[in-house]
Amino acid sequence: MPGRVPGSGSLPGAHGRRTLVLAGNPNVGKSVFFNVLTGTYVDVSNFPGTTVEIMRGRRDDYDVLDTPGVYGVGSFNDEEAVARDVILAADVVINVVDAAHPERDLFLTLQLVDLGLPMIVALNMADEARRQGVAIDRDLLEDLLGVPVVETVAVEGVGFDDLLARIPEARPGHADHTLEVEILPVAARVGTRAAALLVLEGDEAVAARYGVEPGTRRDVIYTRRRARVDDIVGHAVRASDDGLSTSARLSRAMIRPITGIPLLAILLLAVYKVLGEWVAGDIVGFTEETVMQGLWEPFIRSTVGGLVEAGTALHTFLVGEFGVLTMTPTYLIGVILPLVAGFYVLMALLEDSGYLPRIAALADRALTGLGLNGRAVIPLILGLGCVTMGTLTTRILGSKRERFIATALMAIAVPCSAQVAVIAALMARVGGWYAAAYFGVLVTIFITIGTLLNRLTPGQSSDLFIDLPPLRVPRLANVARKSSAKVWHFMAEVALFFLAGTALISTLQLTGALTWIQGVAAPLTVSWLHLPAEAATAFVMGFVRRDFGAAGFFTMDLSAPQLLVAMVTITLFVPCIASMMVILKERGPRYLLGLFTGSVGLAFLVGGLLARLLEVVL
Amino acid sequence: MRGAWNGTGPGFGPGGPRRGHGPGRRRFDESGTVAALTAGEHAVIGVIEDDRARAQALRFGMGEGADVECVTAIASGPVIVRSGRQEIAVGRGLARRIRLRASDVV
Repeated sequence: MPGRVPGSGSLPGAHGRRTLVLAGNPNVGKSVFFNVLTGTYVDVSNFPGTTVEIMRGRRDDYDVLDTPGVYGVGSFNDEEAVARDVILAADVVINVVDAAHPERDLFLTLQLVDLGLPMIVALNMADEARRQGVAIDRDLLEDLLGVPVVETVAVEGVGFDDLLARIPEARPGHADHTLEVEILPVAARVGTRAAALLVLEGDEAVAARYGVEPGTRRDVIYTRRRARVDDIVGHAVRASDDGLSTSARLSRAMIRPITGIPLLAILLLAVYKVLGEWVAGDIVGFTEETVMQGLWEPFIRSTVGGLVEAGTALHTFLVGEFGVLTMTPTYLIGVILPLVAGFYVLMALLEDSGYLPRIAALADRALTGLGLNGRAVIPLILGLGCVTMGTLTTRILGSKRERFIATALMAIAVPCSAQVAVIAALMARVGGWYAAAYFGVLVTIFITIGTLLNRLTPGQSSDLFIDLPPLRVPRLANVARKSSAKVWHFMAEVALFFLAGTALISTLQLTGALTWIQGVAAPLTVSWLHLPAEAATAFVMGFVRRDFGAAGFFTMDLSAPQLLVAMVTITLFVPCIASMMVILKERGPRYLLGLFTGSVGLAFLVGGLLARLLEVVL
Repeated sequence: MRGAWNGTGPGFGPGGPRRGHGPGRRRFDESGTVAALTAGEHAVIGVIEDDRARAQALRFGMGEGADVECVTAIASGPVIVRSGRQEIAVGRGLARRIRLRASDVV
């Protein structure tokens, strides 16, 4: 059967249903496309052996699978490898193409055609293309490719009836005929055309599966494919280079440091105002206090109280101070949800407008000093929202080394938004200099740790190599769809970790271990950090919820220098237990252990030194 | 100004070899590569030794023989090039590994 790869059997069978696989470049609107096609019920799972997510849904009689956005199919990174394997097992491939960038997107299209898979092309964002002056002759393109081509505007749900009606017409397209000669002998040994092509292109993983040597034809094949793309674009695409001058100038201003950094500073200020004050302050105040603590917690307490006797261990475990039915939902829905939603909306806005890749270009120089590249701005910004979000997003980074470094930086030196709100409130008490000092210490630590990790971490980081789409006004429908899908998946993925974290803390409290830890930490807190003994309790609280950790200092009577020491220490301290669990899942137990010890050690070291420094200086 | 790089071999050209860092600090010789481009220059991509970079460049339409124009170059930072209708940001490390072809001065 064309396209089936025996032994890739890590994907469960289609239960008799045909499999539609969405394939396309990053940012072509695939997730919205998937959303429109499958509706709300979606199953997200990791591709076995990787941290790459696959989304699986249903439409009529079809199983629909989404793949990570890739520029080509191969084994350069986990995303490509997973996309390759999912695509190889497809009954029909729906190639989602950004109609405004055919010269870029058609490379993957032609690769899919060369693989010989039954496919149909969806020219998505067709309205956007028209607006940018790109006109594609759909009929001609269909002739040239040899597969059905449909125009869609996923964000408005346009074109899907047409698409679904033509799925039965999906067929292999006009592959590069000069390849046939090379493919046939390999296919004889390897079983399928698709696998044979991949072997020829030098895909080591696929070659290993069949016990053959990877081929060396990639350069030749890719060059020919590129020439074919240029040829097709030359015939079927008319692009008018309209007055891009204003956006070109703005684009340049965003990238060049002399103008880019001030622009970024303005953005960060706006973000702080909106997310830091409004969302983290007012909205969370409403959701956490009015809704969750005001309505949910009394409700669940009385319900459980009717079933389980108050004062028992079970009762405390369920609805006590760290109850899994009280604290977890309150924290998740009251605090995390609004913050995560806010940050995902921010990200979607930055992405949709085209500003995000330009921020990456601007930040690249600084980040290479830390062993990262410009792309790391994405997890780092999200890490400001919630370290769990940031850690999950490190999946987009190009190498293991970058993921290692980025996760550590976020866990150690980046405060999460839950914390920031509390810290800002506390700092307001002590005035500008201390706030500046707090910021300064964190930035210094960030740079120091990053530079150190860059020196010490083995391996190779990847370089920035991204395309900069034209700037445009973000489309709110796009932004809303994208962020709501991401928020939903995030909550589904981490809810369990928060639950497990609370359960653990609850158990520690019930067994008296929590009090014991506080007792052990108190002398350290007093003699080394020069903070009152109760501060130890606040630090332990920081395990549970980072904002609790900071908030614990509200009621203590601290001098301004003491407050600074406390805030710095609590920020450098380990992230909350839920994020530690996510880190455990994404990076492994040894990493977590190293991070834990390093983070605690560093927090106390810096805190103590800072305390002494302030005493000397002030 | 066309023909930013011409000559018989790497490192030779009008004004002498280019340097990657400030005067006297000769850490990287960027001449003849994408890293040496300045805003407005046109060039033709030559050999890319790095396998992975070469494949990625081909996918983007920036392979050997492709005409590119430098949109802007950030000092010690990425180089932004235009290939066809696409603008692509290339990290400096990678830019140093993408050679340019000698172009005929017009």
